[in-house]
Amino acid sequence: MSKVLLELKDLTIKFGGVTALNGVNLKIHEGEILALIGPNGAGKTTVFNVVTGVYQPTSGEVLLHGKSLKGVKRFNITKMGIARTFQNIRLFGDMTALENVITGTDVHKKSGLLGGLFGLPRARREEQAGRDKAHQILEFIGIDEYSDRLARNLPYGVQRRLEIARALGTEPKLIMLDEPAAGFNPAEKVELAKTIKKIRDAGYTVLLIEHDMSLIMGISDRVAVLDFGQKIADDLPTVVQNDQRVIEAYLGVPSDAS
Amino acid sequence: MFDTLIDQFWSLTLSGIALGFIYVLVSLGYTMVYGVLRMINFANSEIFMFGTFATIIISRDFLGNVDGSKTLPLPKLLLTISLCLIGSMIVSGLVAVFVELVAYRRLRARGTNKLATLISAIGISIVLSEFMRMITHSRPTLNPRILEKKSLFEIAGANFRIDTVLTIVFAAVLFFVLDRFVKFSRLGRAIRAVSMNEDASKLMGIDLNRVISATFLIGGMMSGAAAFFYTLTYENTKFNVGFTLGLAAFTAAVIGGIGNIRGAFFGGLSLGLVEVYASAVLGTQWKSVTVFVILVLVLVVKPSGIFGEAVQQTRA
Repeated sequence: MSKVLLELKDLTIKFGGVTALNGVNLKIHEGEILALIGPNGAGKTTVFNVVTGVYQPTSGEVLLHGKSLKGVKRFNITKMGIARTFQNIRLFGDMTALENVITGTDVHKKSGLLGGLFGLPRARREEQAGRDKAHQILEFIGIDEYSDRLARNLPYGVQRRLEIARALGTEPKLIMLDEPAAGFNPAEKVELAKTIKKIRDAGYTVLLIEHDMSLIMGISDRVAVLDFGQKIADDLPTVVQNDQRVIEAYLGVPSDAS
Repeated sequence: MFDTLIDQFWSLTLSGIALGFIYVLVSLGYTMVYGVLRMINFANSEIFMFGTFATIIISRDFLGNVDGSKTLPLPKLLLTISLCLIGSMIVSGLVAVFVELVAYRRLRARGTNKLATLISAIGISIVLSEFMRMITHSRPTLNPRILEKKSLFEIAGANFRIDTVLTIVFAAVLFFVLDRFVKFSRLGRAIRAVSMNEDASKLMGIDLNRVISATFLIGGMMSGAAAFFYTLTYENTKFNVGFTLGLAAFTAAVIGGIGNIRGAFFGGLSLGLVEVYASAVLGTQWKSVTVFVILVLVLVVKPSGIFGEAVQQTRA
């Protein structure tokens, strides 16, 4: 098996009396699509928030390439190669689609205040390079035709895809998608599945939260299941699909078995 | 009643534009900070005030321009103007960064509400002006004349004095550079990103504290530039020079739509013009009254200003 990119080690988070995550162990390997599923409130988004540094774990840790992310500031986590999208769209509404993606590419630029103020050659070169790259990413995601439109005026489906494009702008190793298919019709879901596979095939690692089972089963290399903050399964999609505990978590325990 | 206005219309328009550009630069200090923090930086008037003193100290004490009746030789004049402008921008910029570090940053880190920050803003504003009052014993400080206020040319009765032209040209250039910077540079984009969505901007690898410091620095520098032009024109300052001017600039920002850079441009210019026209019609004693009546009217009729978001919609 390929190298481990991200590892959650015995991760526990408590908010007051509520245990959101309880001793979760999870490994994400380079170049795979790992789906994280589970009933509402199982702790999926909490995992995203811990990995991106929004919450600090109560115990346990998150390792990227074997290095602990403990105490690393949020913006530095992005620089280290972790990007995410949100369940509810959070674009920069008054920027064009292109500018949204350029803002992502800015993270690795070096020119400072003076370069920007006076338009020094290096700043200009970087600016142009960022523009070109942003166009490439929009092209890759299939929405380059919208590049000059303000993000807030874009159709819903395009906004969702733009969030992915913007995340890719930061040149992540791991991209985490929080319910990217929310609100999509079946045709759009098929498109999205293709895009996510394309992202994986381009060399990114994908961690995916999703509720749509056919989408998950169609594209995931592996599926991990959370229930009440605990991992109850972690295997190939076909195996997880038939796991008794997973079925119980989703459907409840049948009455004749209790 | 309207005789003066009609007789001197072009002359008034010219001085209205010059005054308007000073408002534009100072209101940028309010508007940029508001954009990223959704907070009114009341200390901006004191940031401006420090710039006026910086100008006088650089010209009078460092460069020895003590005798205002003598005309400065051209090289010395150019040196004085550039050093005073840059020095004033740097001093005001640094005071602004200092204000943010001392009065706002800790409150922000603790997640206190905006009201606490607002009171802290008023507090630091009083501290800065009282500090200057003690040093200057509440007396006005004169700036020995740097520039002989010669007329360059006259069009339709409007007298294009050299200080007026300098103010308009430099302020317009500064505004243009700033506008381009915010639109087309990495830091400018980060400033806009933070103003639109703080959470998402962190995920784009934007260091919020650094962006906020930069915003205060740039906003302060614009107020500092305004302070230089003000001192060049009016040739004196006082510890409370920023008070009325700051409120007027704030009004200008609200007219244009606070948080919006181009709004500050139109707000500043229109307020400068209205103020000058109103003084001509009603008398100069009505100047401040006009400004604040306009502020109240804008807040009542169109709180979002010409270009901006509604003030009441902002995060509380």
